[in-house]
Amino acid sequence: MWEKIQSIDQRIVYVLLALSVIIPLFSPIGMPISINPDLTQKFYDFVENLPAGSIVWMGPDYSPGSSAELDPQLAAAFRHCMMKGHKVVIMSMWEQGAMLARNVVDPIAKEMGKKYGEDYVNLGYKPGREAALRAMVADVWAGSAGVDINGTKLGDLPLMAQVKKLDTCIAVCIDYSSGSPGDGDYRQYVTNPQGIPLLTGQVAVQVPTRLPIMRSGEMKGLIPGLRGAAEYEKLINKPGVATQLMDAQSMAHVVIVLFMVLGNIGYVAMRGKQGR
Amino acid sequence: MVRKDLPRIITTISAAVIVFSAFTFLGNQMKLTATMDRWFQVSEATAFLLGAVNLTRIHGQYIQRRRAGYYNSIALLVCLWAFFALGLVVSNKAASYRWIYDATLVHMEATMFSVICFYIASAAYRAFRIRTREATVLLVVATIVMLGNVPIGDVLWSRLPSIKDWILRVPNSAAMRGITIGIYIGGFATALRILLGLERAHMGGAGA
Repeated sequence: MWEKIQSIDQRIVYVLLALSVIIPLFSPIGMPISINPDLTQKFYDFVENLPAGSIVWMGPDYSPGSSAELDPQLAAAFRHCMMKGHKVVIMSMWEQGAMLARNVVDPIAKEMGKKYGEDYVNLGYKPGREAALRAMVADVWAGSAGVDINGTKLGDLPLMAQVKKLDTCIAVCIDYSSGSPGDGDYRQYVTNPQGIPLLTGQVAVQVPTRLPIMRSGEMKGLIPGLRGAAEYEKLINKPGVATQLMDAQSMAHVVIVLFMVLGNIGYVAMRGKQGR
Repeated sequence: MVRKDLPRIITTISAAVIVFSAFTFLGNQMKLTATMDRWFQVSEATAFLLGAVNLTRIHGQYIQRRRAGYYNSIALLVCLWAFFALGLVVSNKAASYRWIYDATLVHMEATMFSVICFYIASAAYRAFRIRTREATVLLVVATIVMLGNVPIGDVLWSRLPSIKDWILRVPNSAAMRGITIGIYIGGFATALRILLGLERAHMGGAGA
């Protein structure tokens, strides 16, 4: 029996894990979500305390593989910016990031009656990684080749009249990062040299690597994974997809931990039986 | 000469120009880095097209030789060039272009990534065994962090999230700092070897 416990068919593991994710989506439990005071709360407070009309630079530097975690973060922070009357400029160093961001922010802007070109602009994907960022610091218009994601000339977008050089007009940079290029490039080429504050949204696996940077003060706030997105939704009092997914993530973690414990019970029992 | 020495010479000259521009007053005034950044942006954009052409050449050969699974190559090339042509004809603003992207690529990539979750669960179940004291510590810490990271952690024990935060903030940060310093020293040494032309592995040769 103990041997069987150690080697449960992996299909059973898959099915139970799938059920643990699917069932809470249809029957939410509604577990309470506490706010992380050192990470999400600091991010929220920073955006909250910016003067109305501040220009916020957002970098959706991720692909669809990370969109489950980072789309809700982007949605919550973008909504918060719009609620506070801030202006948002979006530019991605990842080929697919800007298109993903468009799908996230356009419906929110429409719902809130915000106008493209006046309240926010999506510059699209700009190739060149750190070179693109450095070019933006010197001249946003030249670094963007003078057009936004739709090919519209920046001169036709009123907001861009205020956005010429990153160091003189941007109140804060927010990078949603799932790898490189990402927040590391912002720290190295934009925020640290130019003295612009940096906030980031991170996929959960990257959070441990960013905590020393957060503690050093190079980042003013951090949204950690899907949990962080749910916390942000709670802070802005607008529960969304991240809040819905929290129960599913909780149950999936419990199932994985239970399997780990079960495997070890079998292992210890077998070891005792073999007299080792 | 053209394949080996020319890229090395270009690398060394480019590095010298960037170092001169970034670290000297005269270089800063001449704004050489800004010019090279623009070149780099154009080069990277051009590399995409070059990549597509190379992909077509390689998979074209697979199809021509009827290599095993050549039909996958046909699918790849049809998708690649049809999407490219559609973008040229209707532009990326068009609903049809956006629909194809949103309805296929986004979901396929998200699915590929999501599948990892099942492998992680299976691997954690099979591999996490308390064979040694170190493995036991790893298991206990992993359990605390996994449960503390989700709302059920608060429900099970209200102190779990704060213990998880301490683990991430103190031991994890200490280890990460050490690892990061090591990575950057290694990266600096490797970059220096490339800039001086001592490291040639990235050009298909062996390091000196």
